[in-house]
Amino acid sequence: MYRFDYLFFMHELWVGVTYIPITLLLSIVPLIIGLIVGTLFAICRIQKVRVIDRIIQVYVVLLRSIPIVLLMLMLYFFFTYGIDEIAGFYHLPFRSSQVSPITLAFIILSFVSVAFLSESVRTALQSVQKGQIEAARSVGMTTTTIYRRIIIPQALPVAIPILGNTFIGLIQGTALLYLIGVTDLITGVKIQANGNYRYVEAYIAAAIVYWVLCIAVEQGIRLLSTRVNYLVKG
Amino acid sequence: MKRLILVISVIIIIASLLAGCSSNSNTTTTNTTTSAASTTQPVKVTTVQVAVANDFNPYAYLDANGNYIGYEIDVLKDVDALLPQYQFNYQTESDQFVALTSNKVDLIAHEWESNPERQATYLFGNQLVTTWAAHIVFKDGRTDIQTISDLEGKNVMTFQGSNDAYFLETYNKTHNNAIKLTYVSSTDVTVLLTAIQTGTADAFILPLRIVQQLEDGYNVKLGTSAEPVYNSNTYFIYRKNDASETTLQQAVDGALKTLTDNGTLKALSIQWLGADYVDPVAIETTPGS
Amino acid sequence: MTNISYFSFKRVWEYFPQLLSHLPTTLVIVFFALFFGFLLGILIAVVRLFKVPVLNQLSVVYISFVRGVPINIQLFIVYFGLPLILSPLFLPLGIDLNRVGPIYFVIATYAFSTAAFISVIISASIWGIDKGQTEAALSIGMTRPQLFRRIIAPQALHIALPEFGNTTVSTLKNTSLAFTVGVVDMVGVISAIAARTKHSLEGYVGAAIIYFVLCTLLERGFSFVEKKYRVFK
Repeated sequence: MYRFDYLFFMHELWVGVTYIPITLLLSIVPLIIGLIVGTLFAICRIQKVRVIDRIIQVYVVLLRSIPIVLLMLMLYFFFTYGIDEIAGFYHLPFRSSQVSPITLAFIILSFVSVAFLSESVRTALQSVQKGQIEAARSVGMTTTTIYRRIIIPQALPVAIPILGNTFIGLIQGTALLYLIGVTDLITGVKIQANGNYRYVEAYIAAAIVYWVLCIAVEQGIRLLSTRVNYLVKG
Repeated sequence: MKRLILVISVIIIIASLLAGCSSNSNTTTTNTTTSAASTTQPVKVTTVQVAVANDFNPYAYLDANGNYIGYEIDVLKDVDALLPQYQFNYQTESDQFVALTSNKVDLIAHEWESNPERQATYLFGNQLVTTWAAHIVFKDGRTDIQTISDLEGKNVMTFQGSNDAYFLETYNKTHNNAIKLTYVSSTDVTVLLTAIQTGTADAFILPLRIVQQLEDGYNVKLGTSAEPVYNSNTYFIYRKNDASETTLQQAVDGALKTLTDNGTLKALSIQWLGADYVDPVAIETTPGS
Repeated sequence: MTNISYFSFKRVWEYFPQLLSHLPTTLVIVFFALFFGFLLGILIAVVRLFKVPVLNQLSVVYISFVRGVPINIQLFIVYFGLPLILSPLFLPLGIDLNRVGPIYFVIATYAFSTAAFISVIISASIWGIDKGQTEAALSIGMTRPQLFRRIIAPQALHIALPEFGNTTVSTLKNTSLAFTVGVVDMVGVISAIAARTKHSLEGYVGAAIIYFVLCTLLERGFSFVEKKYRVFK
């Protein structure tokens, strides 16, 4: 029968906690990049920019329907080889060896988050009723003003919970980065168990750290959500 | 806040449940297998769950039809044929040591090397399965790496939980963490090769026969250290402090001895691995010495 | 790196039959995970809607666990940890939980996870219906079962259907991680193929194509059902 080692478990919990900053960094950076690029993509699609909106559509559909683990491994190989191919072709002074697995992780997760967030932002922006936009235009507002004064204040409360979900999705995505050689939370706690093979304790500790982290993020988003609602509605 | 209290209380409940099952210790599980073996019939066949890899060519992998093949598989099949009281069943486990500890399997086979940490936790067979002379592997053409101390300050990739990881970690403990370790999961060896080719990592540690096989398989050229950084043997591994496991280990060791003595093991080694890798060599017990 | 041909479409093509031969494993996992996930999800939704004491609080913890913990860690915990807790209960029944194959635990994990999401969808879509309608229906003398069948269920289903579609698709995508506990499904077989052929990237590409097709089919199917449903409403 299995003897659960509490002392080691507590140690693993602490080790897990020390990996929270890197886990947050690995999910926040792609979230911000995803938000910026995703918003650009969403606007391109709403404004029906020719050709580009089709390309974005294909991109979004592809990345949303392929499992993240496969995306991760494919993009890993693609970037590792691709960077060298491109750099070699244009005689650029860099090689993929200068790109650490963690940088690749940022790039890969950003690619995924752009696809998800561009859809979220689009839904949020389109949640604003057409009539309002027409009314705004009829009183002579410019497109920029319409976005600033009408669309964004209404879209923001819709977008924030979706943003929170993507954030949590990204945090969970970091749990797969060990597959491409990033020392993430799971690898961190597993290294500790290499000596005594208490991987069960390690995994349970990792689970609890992730769990508490996600609850904290959820609470944060909820708080932000009420704040924004309050600000927007005055 | 409410949620957090709930979460904590549930954790406490689960923890106490775990404590409950650790207190009734190792009586329940051993009974199931031994009582089955000691009933009236003289030769009662006991099923043995064997954890093997499915992606470890040429040791244990799947052919195109999904059947297990390879050196370790053939050795295990020959052992099974010599032991009428056992029936081996093969299954893939992602984490063989965890599977062994949690009673999911009875024997694990993945070219496991022996080291003191593992010996403290698991029961090793006494008959070796292969010898394992580990060399440093790097990009072809490099001349700056020959011994373990050359790895100081370099990026070394190692498989999570492997013996080379243990070897490097042990070295690091006495050398101020001089070697930068990157852990990879054993899921995809191409991740490792890519890192070496592109320079993301400087080196990793493997026996020459596997290096040869990587070179042939992936059509790459790799450089290796002239001397092995350590020598060890690989064994089948069993659970400790478990009567039925000790019986199994002794039976398998007996069969392995027969296979070693009659030359079968050597023949299988030549057939699958290209040379005789079952002749025991002098072992350096303390890595890095 | 010029000496390695790291990608060829020919190999993608060659791998397809081998990947497809493991598709049934993936589909079996998805089917049973959804089936049990829906059943359990409905039960949890009932617990939440009627605020059954104790169980309601437990369901809150359960849902937050499933949402908060990465699915590959959940898989590991269910596969290795669950038998540690539950095997004393199963041994008297003659079942050694440790000897149950990984696929059952994988199905259980995905069913647990799907159930959490399904229960949230169901309770949210029922809570989303205007309270006034319930009061109106009760005041004109409708019984509670009638109220549920005629007023609540049709509207709730309308809200929930697209969400069910999303959950189904994400369950399908999540099953790609079953390999992490040793199930040889479509993704799990890639490393086995690569062990023979030394090329894994083509395997990932092939599996990605198959997943893409499956997801697209599922999404199409769900939007078709949604449209049908809208017509008959």
